[in-house]
Amino acid sequence: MKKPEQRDLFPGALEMMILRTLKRQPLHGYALVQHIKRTSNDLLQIEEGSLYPALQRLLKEELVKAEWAVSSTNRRVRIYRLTAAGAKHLQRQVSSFERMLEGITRVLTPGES
Amino acid sequence: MMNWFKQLFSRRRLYDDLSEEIHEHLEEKIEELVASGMPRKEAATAARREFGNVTLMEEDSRAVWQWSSMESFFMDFRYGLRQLRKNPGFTAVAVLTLALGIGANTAIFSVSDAVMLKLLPAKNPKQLVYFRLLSPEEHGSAFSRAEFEQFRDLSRSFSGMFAFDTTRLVVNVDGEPDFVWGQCVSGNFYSVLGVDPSLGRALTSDDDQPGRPAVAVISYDYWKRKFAQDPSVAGKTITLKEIPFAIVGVAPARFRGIELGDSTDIWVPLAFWEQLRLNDHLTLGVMARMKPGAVEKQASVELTLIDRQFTAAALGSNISPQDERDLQARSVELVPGGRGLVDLPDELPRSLLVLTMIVGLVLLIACANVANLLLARAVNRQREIAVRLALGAPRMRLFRQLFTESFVLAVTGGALGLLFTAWTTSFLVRILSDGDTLQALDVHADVRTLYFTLAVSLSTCLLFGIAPAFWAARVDAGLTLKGVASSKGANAPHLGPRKVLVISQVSLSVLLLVGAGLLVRSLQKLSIVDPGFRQENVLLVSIYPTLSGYEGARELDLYARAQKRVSAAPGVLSATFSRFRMLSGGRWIRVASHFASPSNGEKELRVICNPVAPRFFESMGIPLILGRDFTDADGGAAPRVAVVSESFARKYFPGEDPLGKPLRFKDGKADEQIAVVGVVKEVKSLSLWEREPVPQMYIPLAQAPADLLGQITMEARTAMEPATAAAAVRDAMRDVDANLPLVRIITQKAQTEGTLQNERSLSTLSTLFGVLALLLACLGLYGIAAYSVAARTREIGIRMALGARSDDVHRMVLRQGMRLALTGIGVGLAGAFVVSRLLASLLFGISGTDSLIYAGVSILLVLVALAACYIPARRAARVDPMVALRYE
Repeated sequence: MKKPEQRDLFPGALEMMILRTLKRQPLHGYALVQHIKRTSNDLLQIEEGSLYPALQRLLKEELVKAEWAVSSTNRRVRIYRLTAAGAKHLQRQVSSFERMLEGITRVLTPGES
Repeated sequence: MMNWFKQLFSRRRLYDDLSEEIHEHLEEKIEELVASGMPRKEAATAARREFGNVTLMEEDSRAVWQWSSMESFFMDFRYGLRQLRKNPGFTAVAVLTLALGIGANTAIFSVSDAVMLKLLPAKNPKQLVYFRLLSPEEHGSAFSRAEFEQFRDLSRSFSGMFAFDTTRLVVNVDGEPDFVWGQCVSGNFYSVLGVDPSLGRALTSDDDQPGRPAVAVISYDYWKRKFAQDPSVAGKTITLKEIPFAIVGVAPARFRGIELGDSTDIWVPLAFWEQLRLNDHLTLGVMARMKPGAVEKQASVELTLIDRQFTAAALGSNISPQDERDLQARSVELVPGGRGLVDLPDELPRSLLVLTMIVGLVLLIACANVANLLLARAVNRQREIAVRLALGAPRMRLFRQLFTESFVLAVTGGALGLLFTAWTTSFLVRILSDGDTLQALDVHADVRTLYFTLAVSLSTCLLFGIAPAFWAARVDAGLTLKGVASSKGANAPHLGPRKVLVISQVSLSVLLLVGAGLLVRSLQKLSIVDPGFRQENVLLVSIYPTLSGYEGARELDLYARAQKRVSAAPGVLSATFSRFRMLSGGRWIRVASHFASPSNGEKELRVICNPVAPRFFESMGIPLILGRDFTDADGGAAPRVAVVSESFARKYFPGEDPLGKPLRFKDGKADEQIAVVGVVKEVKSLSLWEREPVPQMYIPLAQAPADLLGQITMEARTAMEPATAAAAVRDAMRDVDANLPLVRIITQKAQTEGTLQNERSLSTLSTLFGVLALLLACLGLYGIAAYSVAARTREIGIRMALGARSDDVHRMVLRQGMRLALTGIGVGLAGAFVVSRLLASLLFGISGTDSLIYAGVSILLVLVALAACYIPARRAARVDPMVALRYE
């Protein structure tokens, strides 16, 4: 019954972006969505529906932790924060992503080599 | 990562956090949209649309934390419980039905388990074996003491071997005589079995040496009964036949001895056997423990050789060719002894088998009933199921959920069944036991019973749960929700399986009722059988004078005094003695020296011989046809005399006057001649089952062989209800000897009825279950008729609107119900015809295909079926066409 997952480019990309964003600063769910949208110049539309399962996965693997706080707009929010393990995981993911990207770029760019 | 454990408990909070977080997220989004100028209502809709399916997302988020299959199972389980709680009527009927079915099966299982499967509470019970002799003359487990010693000293396959004799004993505790079961055993009895005493010490090989002080071990039960669990019982002295024995220990509570179904109260060393044994206990049983790795076959060969050597040596030097052949035909085989010695009524395993089949059938009917209920309910839940399908529930999930509901039912039924078992087993043991046996049977629910119940519950769940679950998973959501299904009778095809279920229910109950009917009829025929003597107003009392020290002339004198004294007791018309009670199964069978008129293939003339006191025939109401009764003059020194039954006289002296003629027996001494002094009517002395009574003869007590004396039954013919004369008889016997325990005081009528105990319990239980099955089938029939009327209300309305009279409708519904019932009856009768063959050996005076029973059961079923369909039919006839048509 589950719809085929079409949440982002490739498996793990959403998590990676979440982790990267949280590395800059701890945020709550809504702000996370807004931030990713903004920084990608609206190129990446994050479906809110897939954000929360992803956050739960990260929580479970203890890559992020969450605590309740009150936002500047005086709203009860749950702030997510990167853990040490999360930072390490992000680093690994980014470097492997970069290698992959490099590979793809080489294939896609004709004429060199 | 032991986190899962923490998660298990913090999960509720996790989920709450998640819900709140999502809620706040939505709020924030809406506010932002409002801030950008959108009306609040529109903003809310937009936010939600953009966000997507909140519930699904929450579910997906939660799924991250779950071992999903387990958890959704628990969810289904809880949902199932809720569903069941919402339909208390349905649940009660289904659970009770299952509990009855499962409980009955568990009860029978725990009894069969105790009888056939349970091992002795000994060390490695599977290594224990029991010796059995197979020879042309006898099959038995009895060996002489000398032969046992040869086995013990010469065999090499066993790590230990002991002999035993189970016997009655009179124990004097503080001057009070007490009648108990005892066992004389080799000193190594406890060490070979590997049973440790719960108090004091066990018997040892040392105790069994001649000249050692007399010691005894008592059972836990006897310790409780007689000594109130006095911890200082070790060292206490009790008296057996004037010999003081010191109690040295108490056996553990679970060890009731090595005889299944009987419990031993006291164990004494074999060294005292000759002094303590009953006169006819001349042989010993032998049990041994196999050496690890020893092969049974080899051990049996070894024992056989020892036995042949021993027997040959006893025969001496002049061995005839016939002796030689007999010798070669002898063998000793090993019987597994781990379950103890099985000394239960022979018919018990067979009745257990029949009962197992009966309760199995009842369970099947119960399953059919519950499946039927579930199907009916599933049809009613069509709409719910369709809605869930439309909302995107996977079919597999629905299937699983419905199945889980069945599982909840089965487990609840099983649990209740187990409770039900707790009191049924004792009831069952009481029904099955004939007073002596089985009472000591170790029947209690244990882990195995639990496993059995669980297994039965699960298989019933499979049996009744699959079909409804399958059906539900096939519902067409579109059709149902459009309302097409209910009005177009799309349900009709689903009646198919239900019809099959009802038909099988009816046929299974026909099967059970025919069986019950046959057993009941057979019992009736048995209980009106005339045994040939007058059973009314006879009181029976057994005594064991030998255990109280009476021997020889003193014993005969005791009988004479007791007869005189009891005859004079108020209410007693006459008193007499016989070695064997009538219809007790006790017997001494002799083979006559020749057979003058053999008929239909009999090879030898066997006769049951019973030593009796004077006035036996008069007291028991056995008519004397010729000659005379015994008198006090027929003493030990007088010429041997006998009174014979008519058939014996006819077969031994055809066409002659038997009076005064000599009788000879193959087992007698060559010069022994017994003169016939009287002829009496034939009686059934062994069992009411006898079609042709076995020929009988009676000899005077004083002329009986010594090994038959020492234990005896007194028969007192009374002027009134014999039980009321018991006190007078007791008083009279106290005058004779106050220290003589009176045993098994019952009326002859009760003794006779006791022989039918097995038949009675079988017919009672099968009737009980038959009626239960009938009720269930009735419920099934009613259910299907009621349901089909409800489903066809509209159709009936149209028919009536078009002119059908309510009589026609009434008849139509009845006809449909009866078609099912009649099919079921037909199938059931055919089945009974086949299955009744299994019952043949349990039936007396009635054939397994007795047409009266078959017809009676059919008529009963037809009546019950009519009754079951009557209410739905009336409801159908009262359908108001206007209401029915408007309803849609």
